[in-house]
Amino acid sequence: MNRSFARRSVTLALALVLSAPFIATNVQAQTPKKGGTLVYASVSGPGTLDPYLASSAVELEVINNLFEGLVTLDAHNATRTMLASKTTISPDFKTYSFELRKGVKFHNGQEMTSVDVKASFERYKRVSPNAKNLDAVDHFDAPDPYSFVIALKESNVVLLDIIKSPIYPLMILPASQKDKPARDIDVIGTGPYKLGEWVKDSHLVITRFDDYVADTSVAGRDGYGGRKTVYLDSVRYRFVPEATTRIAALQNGEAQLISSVPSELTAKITAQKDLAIREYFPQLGSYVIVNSQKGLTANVLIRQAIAAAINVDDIIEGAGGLNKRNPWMSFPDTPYYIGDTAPTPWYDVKDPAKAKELLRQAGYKNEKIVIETNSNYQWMRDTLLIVAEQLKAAGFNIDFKVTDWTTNAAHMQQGTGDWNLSTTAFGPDHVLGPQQWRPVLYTFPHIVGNDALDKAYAEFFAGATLEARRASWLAIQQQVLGNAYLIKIADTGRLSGYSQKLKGQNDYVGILQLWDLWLD
Amino acid sequence: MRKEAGLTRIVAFKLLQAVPVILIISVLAFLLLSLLPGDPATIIAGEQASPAAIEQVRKQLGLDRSFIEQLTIWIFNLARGNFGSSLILNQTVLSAVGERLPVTLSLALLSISFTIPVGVFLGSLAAYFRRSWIDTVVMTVALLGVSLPAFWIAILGVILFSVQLGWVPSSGYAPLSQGFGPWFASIALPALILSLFQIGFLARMTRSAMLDVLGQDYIRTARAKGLGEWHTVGKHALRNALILIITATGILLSAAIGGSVIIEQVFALPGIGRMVVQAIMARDYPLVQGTMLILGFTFVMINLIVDILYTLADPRVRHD
Amino acid sequence: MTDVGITSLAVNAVAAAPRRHGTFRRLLRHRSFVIGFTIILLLTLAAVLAPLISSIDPTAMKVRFRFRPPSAAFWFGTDQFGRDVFTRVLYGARISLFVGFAVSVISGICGALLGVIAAQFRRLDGPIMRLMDALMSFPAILLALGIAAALGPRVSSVIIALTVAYIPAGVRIVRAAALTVREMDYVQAAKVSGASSLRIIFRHILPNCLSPLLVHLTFIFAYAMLAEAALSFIGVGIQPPIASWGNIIAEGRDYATQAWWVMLFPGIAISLAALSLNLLGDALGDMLDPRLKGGE
Repeated sequence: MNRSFARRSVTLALALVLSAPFIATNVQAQTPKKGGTLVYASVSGPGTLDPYLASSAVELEVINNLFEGLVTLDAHNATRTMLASKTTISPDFKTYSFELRKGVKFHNGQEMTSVDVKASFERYKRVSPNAKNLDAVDHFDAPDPYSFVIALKESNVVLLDIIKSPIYPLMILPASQKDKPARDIDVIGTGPYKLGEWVKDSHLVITRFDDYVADTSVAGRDGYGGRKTVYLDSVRYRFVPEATTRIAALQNGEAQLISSVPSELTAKITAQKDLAIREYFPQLGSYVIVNSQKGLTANVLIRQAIAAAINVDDIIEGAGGLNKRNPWMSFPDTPYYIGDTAPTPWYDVKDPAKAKELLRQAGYKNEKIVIETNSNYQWMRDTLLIVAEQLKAAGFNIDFKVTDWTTNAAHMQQGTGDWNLSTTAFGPDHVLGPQQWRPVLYTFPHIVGNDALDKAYAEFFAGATLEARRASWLAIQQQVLGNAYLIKIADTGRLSGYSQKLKGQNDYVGILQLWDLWLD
Repeated sequence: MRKEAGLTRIVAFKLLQAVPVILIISVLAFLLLSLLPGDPATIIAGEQASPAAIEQVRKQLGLDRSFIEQLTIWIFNLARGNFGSSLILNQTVLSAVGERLPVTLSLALLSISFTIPVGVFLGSLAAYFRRSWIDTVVMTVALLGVSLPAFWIAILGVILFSVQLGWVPSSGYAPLSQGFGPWFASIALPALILSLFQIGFLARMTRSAMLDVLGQDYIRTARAKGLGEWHTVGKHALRNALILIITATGILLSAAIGGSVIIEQVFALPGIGRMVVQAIMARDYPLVQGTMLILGFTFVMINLIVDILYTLADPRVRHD
Repeated sequence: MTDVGITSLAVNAVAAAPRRHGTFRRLLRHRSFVIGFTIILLLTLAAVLAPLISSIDPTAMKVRFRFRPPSAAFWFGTDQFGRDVFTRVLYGARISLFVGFAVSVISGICGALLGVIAAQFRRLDGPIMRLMDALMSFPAILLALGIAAALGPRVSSVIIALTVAYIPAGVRIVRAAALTVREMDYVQAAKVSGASSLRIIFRHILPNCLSPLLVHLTFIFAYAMLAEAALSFIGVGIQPPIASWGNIIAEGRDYATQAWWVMLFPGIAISLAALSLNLLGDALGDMLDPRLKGGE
């Protein structure tokens, strides 16, 4: 079933993290109750629990509760410490030093020390697809059990942002795992839960880790970090691909929390007064990817004509789900979000006449524009079905091709295949900023020979202050969106359904955090 | 004595015939999958992975090897009883199949245990009362059974029995170790839906086989001799029913396992069918190949056993 | 799904019935035949005349009209894009019936050829039948699933996949019938009088295998249509924007509790079509085998 796999796999997942505005909390006056098992019905189960290879939401929402890293995101997506107690950066941005918290225990009872941290970083460099982000590393040092040092070959102003990335998270594993091959670790972390039973494709159980050593530097939880308390005895993840079946499980009390509720079906849940809906927004930003190296779409006028024909509101409504307009490539309330206006006039143009005029200027003679998508992800197919209709209305001749996700993704990433338009969504880039976006921009639309873009990126990496870097980021977005390499559609989120018995949910919308929750 | 010697010969002959079939299945399973487009390394490496990272994953998985090399490795491993390892599940194919087998088997066997008594009864009823309204009603029901798309009925079934009525859990599987009740509740509805098609099929098959028997000379003779109706029909019908059940079981098992591929999707049952579909979508070649192969072998064996039992049960069968 | 069983039904139905005259007239008096034939004829007409019956474009979207329940304006309601479900079911009939028909015809031709060859040339019998045994060792839907995925999501892949899955049953039927016919007196006579193998095949054997094959193919038509729907439901079948009954149900299933009409009507359409074909098959089987009368 396409869908089930879909959400299991990568893209989806790409999604992740994010902050939402800190709205007034539904502060719980009640005292938390200890005990009980929370049943969480999600779309599908993880393929691996090796954090260094985990990119999908279904993997990360387990991993995140089992493991911890040196640093992480706080409630406003800034960097905060987790297993480290302090970080120091040298003025030349070439040496990063970490002091570790003392007495932190792994699930196997051993204390975590710098030996484990060093081994973890080394394994990460060996097995993670994200390892190239650590290319600047010269060596790692563990001068004493509670100190860890990263020495770089060249200065890097954004190294902490790389280490705190919630995708392919750099979690700390025991040193004994150092030589384990990819996807083949013993699941031992320092997190507040440890792994119980895991039956692939059926269910997975995590149980409270009673020897968990909380970070007491703050009073409560803070983003992914802070002081975490576990009240539940265990959490049972059940993998249920059909949305209607998940909702049925919530309605008849088999589950207290369910993921991915289609927005059309929320009424089924809210109709029952002991159930409620929660928005996880934003998670991803969705884009039409334009292949700038292939046929007609190598012409900027054709690309702009496509942008001119697109009507964002129709896509938001027709493709369903939780989508909101945002012309930017960063989410609101993140360090690189620039403002309420738009970076370019090419967002949601919905002007078929303008598109026709641009096509005329480009000398378009009804040649075929190939839209490629896949059968794994329904939202991608639905989005492009609507885009196809909008382009047809503007006078384009569209060839709609459906393939499988691996082929579709490989075509986008490698620029191979015969396609002009496709779509996908990006997640952490919208939180972490331009350095995270860079490889994406140069691969997906295959931008070649845009000097202005190259220059803007060079300035970004030389920018010593956040202000300077934000200015470069504006220039980058103007190049990318203005030349219609990417056409932004919307920020998307997901809806989860829960029973009112489940208390203590957080306003911070990252990957599922199961600490500080209790069942009433 | 002679009969036993003949039987041994027949079994030996059937076994011999199975050998090339198993070989062909092995090669087919490999060929089929080598045709699959797409690249599992892309999924495994993740969307943000660079081409270099994808290449690294491909190497780790041995996908950079040539077709011939991969085929050789595959056959060589098979010969040693190694069905390979899944790319996405981090498990060997045998253990992955073994883990999910109880689910699919529970589903298949429960549905067949609904099917056989009901199907044979309905079919016999229709045959005995042929051309009466009973025949019409039974055959209409059977016809519906083989005509309604199972996955469609399954969705309607979930809406009616789980969402509206709340009689059965909406999804998920409870192993027998949790007790008979939860196990039965978790698969009763899917098994029932699965058996709709089979019941229709078996009733139709039973009816035509019974009509066949009722038209035979020995029945006419028995009737002409004035033997009691029950004595005449009952005795022969019973024997016939046995042969029918033996023949049908192989077919029904195949139908049940095939049908469970679809039904497991709708009910989120972690069985082999659902695993194969996910493996195909993820281009997990070894898992699809290995599972197809195991299923293929199993059915060769089932057919073999059915053939042999059939020979035992029906003295009229002769093999040349 | 089950193809093996059909074999046994059709084979014992009609092995060597000589051709009859007046069969068609008798068929017209057969109730199952008339009902089945009428329904399938109406569905085929609806498919062919789709553009005349509905003036709406089946892919045209009116997002503002999404999820409208059935009404005078939208007979079967609208789907998540505001497309008219009635129009889509009409156009879906084209694809679904075409796939079913193509699979039964192509698998019939291949089955007839391979079956006759296996029966006529003893040296090829073993290899052909072992290959068929191997193909039949996989549940048909699983085999089709694998092949369809391998060939990519296109109409032609679905047809090829289902054809391969259903060929073995046809081969067995034709082979069994051909073996029986071969021993008949008039065929033996032709052989003795020096007729060539090809002449015997085309003049005597093939025509006499057609009745059981025809019955079988009517069932295959129905099964192929159901299987196409199942494949599309799983996501390896017919892909949008082309509408097939299976993928309309697949697209509507997430909204089944709220917009039931999207998945209900195409489901009824498939059921009707399969039902009518099964009725036809039964009637043909009945007519062609004197022993199996009683469906009327």
